[in-house]
Amino acid sequence: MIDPERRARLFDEFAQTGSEAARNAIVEDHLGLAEFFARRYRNRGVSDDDLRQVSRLALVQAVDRFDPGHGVEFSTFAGRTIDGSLKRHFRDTAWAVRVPRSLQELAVAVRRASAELSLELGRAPTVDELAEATGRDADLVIEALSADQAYRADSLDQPDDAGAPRAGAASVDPGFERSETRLVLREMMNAMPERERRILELRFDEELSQGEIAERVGLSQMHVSRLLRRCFEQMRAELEA
Amino acid sequence: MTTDSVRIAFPGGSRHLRLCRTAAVSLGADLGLDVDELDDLRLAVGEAIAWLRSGVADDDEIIVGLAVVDDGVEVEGLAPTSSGDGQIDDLIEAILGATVDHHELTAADGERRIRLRKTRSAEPVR
Repeated sequence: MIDPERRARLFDEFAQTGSEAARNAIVEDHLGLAEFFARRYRNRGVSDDDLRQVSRLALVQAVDRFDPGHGVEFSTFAGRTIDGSLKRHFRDTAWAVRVPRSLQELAVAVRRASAELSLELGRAPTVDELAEATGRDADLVIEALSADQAYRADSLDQPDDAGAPRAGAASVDPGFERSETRLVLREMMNAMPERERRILELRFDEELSQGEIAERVGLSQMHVSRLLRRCFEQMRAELEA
Repeated sequence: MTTDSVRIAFPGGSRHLRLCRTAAVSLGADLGLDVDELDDLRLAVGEAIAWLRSGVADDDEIIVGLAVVDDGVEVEGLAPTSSGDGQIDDLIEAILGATVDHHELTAADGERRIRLRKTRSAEPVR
């Protein structure tokens, strides 16, 4: 294990000269961290070799992107980078087969019918109305509504080996995580389109109800509700990436 | 008065969150929640149960109860906590605050608990 002073020197050297030797030394010193995160996601439909490869590649990317000037420990930064890469890998591979294609297609059809009926009725439709519009059984419509947007990292937030020592995670300061999450959320809000950002600010900074927001921005409450939900789903996906 | 209820128990290491979402949407649909309200409920259940199980060991049991109570759907969940400090990130709070009428997430004495309530906003369309 490289001591902190030597690690700092290696990062300086890598930043100034692009030294492969310095980069490799840092990577090798953190292979255990990459292994730790790869092990967390074992037995979930992705081979151990793939997990290890994704994890190590993310470690290298973390070394390349790390800026010691930000005052964050490299292990914290690398851990988040590796974890995010593994989750993205699952989202792109294993998760895609979890919902049958027929159900995915029905989910799309139900969403389309929902939008059309909302315009026609001037309110959000019920499940029975969607069942009639799509010609499918209400139970299938319920399943489609439940499956839609199902690919969040709900099953990936816990370690695979509950009893395994959490060496890598132990270096992540929860206080830092919390404050950083807040900053990231604010940044995500700021990156939203003008209308969505305004609605989020009215909801969370001014604590207005959806009805009050609707009056302020000149939209229906239903529209505000949908925009808020879409923002949340986008923010959750970005936070987990 | 409780008119309909579902109880789901599953191990922490499994992927049965979708069952809970489906049960919530099913109960809500029977109650007459519209699609927007069902989407809110689905999103809230996903967030709350993801938090509930984030500190659970693979073989520990998570229990989720869902019920129609008066004009709303109530969801309660319980899980033993084996790791993590039970922190609730700001996005979970924001989402639950905006999607359900009442929410409680607590971590104490080695357990995590959730409680959500989504109330129907209008008389059901029949």
